[in-house]
Amino acid sequence: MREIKFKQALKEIKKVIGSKNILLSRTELLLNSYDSSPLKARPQAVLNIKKTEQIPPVLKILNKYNFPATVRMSASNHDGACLPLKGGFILNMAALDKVLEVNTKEHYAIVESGVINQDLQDILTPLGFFFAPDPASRTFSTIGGNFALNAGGAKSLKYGASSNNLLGADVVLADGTVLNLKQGHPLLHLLVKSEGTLSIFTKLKVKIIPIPNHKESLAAGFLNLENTMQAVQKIISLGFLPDALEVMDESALALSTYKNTNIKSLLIAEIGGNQKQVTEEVKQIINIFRNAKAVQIKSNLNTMEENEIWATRAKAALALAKTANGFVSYDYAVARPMLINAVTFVQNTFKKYSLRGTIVFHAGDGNLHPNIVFDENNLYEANQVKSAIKEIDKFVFSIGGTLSAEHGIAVQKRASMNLFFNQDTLNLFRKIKNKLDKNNILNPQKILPLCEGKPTIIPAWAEPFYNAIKSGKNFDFNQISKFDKIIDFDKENYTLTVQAGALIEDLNKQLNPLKFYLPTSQRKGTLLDLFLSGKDVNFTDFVTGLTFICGEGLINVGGKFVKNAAGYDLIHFMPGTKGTFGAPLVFTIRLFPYQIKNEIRNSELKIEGPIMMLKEVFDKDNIFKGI
Amino acid sequence: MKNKINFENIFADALKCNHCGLCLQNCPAYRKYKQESSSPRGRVQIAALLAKKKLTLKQDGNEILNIIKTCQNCNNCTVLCPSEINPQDINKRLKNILKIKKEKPQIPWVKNILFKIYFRKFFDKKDNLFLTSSNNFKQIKQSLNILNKNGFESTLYKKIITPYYLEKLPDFKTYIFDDIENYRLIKNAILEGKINLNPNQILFITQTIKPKTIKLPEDSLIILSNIYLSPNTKEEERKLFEMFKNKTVNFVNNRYYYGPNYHPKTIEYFKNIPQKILITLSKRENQFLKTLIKKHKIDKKILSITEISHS
Repeated sequence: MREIKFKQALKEIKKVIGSKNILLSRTELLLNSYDSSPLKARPQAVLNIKKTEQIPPVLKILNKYNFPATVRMSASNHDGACLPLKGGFILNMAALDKVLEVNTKEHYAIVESGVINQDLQDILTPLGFFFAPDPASRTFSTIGGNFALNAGGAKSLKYGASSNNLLGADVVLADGTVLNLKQGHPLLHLLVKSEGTLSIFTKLKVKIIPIPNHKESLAAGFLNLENTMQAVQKIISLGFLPDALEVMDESALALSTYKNTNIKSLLIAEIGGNQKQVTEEVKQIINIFRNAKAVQIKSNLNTMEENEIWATRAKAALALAKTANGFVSYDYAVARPMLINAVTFVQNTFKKYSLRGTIVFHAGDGNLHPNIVFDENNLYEANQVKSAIKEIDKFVFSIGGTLSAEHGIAVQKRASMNLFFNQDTLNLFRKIKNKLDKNNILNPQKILPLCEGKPTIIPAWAEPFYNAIKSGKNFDFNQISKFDKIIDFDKENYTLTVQAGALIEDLNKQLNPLKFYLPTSQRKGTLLDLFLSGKDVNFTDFVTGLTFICGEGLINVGGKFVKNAAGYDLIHFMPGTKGTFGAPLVFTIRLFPYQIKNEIRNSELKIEGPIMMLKEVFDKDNIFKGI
Repeated sequence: MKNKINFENIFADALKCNHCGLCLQNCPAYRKYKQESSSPRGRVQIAALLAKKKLTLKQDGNEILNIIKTCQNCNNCTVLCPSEINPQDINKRLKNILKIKKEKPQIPWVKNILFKIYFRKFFDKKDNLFLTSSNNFKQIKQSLNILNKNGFESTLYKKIITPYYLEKLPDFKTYIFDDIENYRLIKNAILEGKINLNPNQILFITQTIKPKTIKLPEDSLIILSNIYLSPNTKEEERKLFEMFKNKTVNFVNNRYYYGPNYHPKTIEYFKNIPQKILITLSKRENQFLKTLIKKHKIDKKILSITEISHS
């Protein structure tokens, strides 16, 4: 039966894309069965998509015959995101590589999803612009892939990760529906880092940013990690926001030109802006380095030297590669002050399991990359890696970090999702996936763990809300207004965890004298109203953690870290839903050392169309009537 | 008989590949066809799959034949490979096994015109030694001829060069290699302290372009299209960029088009760039661009570098 169906599906697809673009030979299938991770899975057929218009009909056919569809472009993912785990069809969209429009007046570019990141940069550079997401794989990874996994990079400290740089998109849902979503539409934010499990992006409207007039790079060598992190902490707490702030540890330096020096960790910074401002900042940062006992400070670099330093950083991950054929790269993010603990723990774990690995990290945003090599054919070594990662997962969870900051979950990390998310949240994820993709054809078996974890524990403060949901009565948003305490104010990490009913006025009174500012210039109302209205773009962008209650139970996503690519993005889905999908209870908000400019969106968003499908998922009893 | 070939030995290096994908970026074949089978990673994986016995020549020979033909022998992939694999060499071995007759190299090793202009102008003849090795005798002869005519010192060596060979040679300021394997070998030997040389004295040919004297018209774009003289890595590209930078002069490497089978992006690219004058370094590129611009009615002026340097 299955084979007959397969042949019928092929026949129909042939009419859409032509037989030339269907690859069925064993060789071709094997060549589409891997990505940058050590995992492998073989598809049944590869379809070379040449036009965006071909995608909806192809998906309709695959949906009809119930065959999985997995998008594959440059296959640079570290976790197996583009592997066809259930077989089925690979949609090779790499040929969709046209830059359709570059608008330097309104600062946007419209691209097809197969455009390689660097190609867009090359077009933008002569025009004086750049595209902020710059993963280490930018020279060959595609922009569609960057958005599907919320790729970050060195510059995301200042400019945000991929999802902060998306202005709109054309997407195709599993049943072939084509949607044009604009920035601020809740569905766009839900789809953006869904790893191709909810939809396929065909066209993207991305933000482009003018290149700063002046840039300067600095490098400082330290004798130990503690001093390095002191310097990082000081730079951030004094209110500097460098374009990039990267650190390489001892093991990574051992593979570079620093191998025979006494330098045990290297801090690289890039500062951009006006020439005056940059020279002033550089002076102060060099002072910070000196105070933190830096042994070698390189400044006033010429371009050659600058490039050399950045090349050392770029090669840090792959310098290991020549020693073995198995390579894994993980991407945890923790609160910045906890970074040193995490790095030390990872170093010790490497020693404990005698692994060959390096650690590099984007220190500014608390994102660390343990890179490990092993022999793929050596089962013992592969198992050692697995047990080490399990231990690191547990540790990162215990200090409140995230499983993935910029690579995504895909296959390699999905088992640990049970650890990092409560069951209610995972159930909600599952139901969202089932609703938008009824036959489970889009990139199946990714992100979500295959088995159930522990049941959700409801904390005492949340019990009244939880009971209110279970009673089936309409939810009363007024009860949140009394719920207004600060739970955690982390001055070193620049985050505030606060209950949703808190008044902005009151918070400003407490924060501003200490030189901490909320990412909004609104002065009145509660955080809850500000968040759910979805009008303040900056505020919603800088909410990094959210606990909310909905028909499915108590949902907890994000935390005290800047970058996050684990699970579906519910934090940015909720603004704009105006309280019809659930009620936020606790926010974690990134604070700033200065008042940032306000960006108010005027256009009213209407909640209608496909997003209403999700209403049943979030609110099965229809008890959330909005604020 | 075919089955008795021990692929595991022949393709031991292919098994080192950890399929990271770094080699995809500058591969002209991948840029054109945009599918895994026309990429260096795909070709290396074929060798690895043969070694693992997941593919066999008997069953998959024809398919493999079609796939490996797409390689343009440009060697851009080798420079990028972090595992220090040479995908082009693996491809050659695959060709040998499949008994494909030797084809003409699609990209000649070096072009007369480029050598005359670049190397005579920018290098001190006495200071540099070109070390050249190639399997293609014609190419060697051609390149040695050009070098000698222009008064450069050059030497020819066999396939693999030993560190001791270099020690015997007279002292030069730099030693310039045209093949990546020997370059790496010697560089590593220096780093390990086997040869008493400075690592900066060893250069790969793409690192050697140092334009100092040439004056270019304002608001122009140089097109570096010859693969061997175009920057192979982003790092080198940036270095070059800095050298050419006098605010109005810019350059682009060949990634946007490749010979007559130009990339669909080419036209778009040339339409979008702000520069009015495009400078080409070779005859072929000049002709190609002139026809392209006529055909698509792009408002740009094409000059060859010889026209500029003579005037």
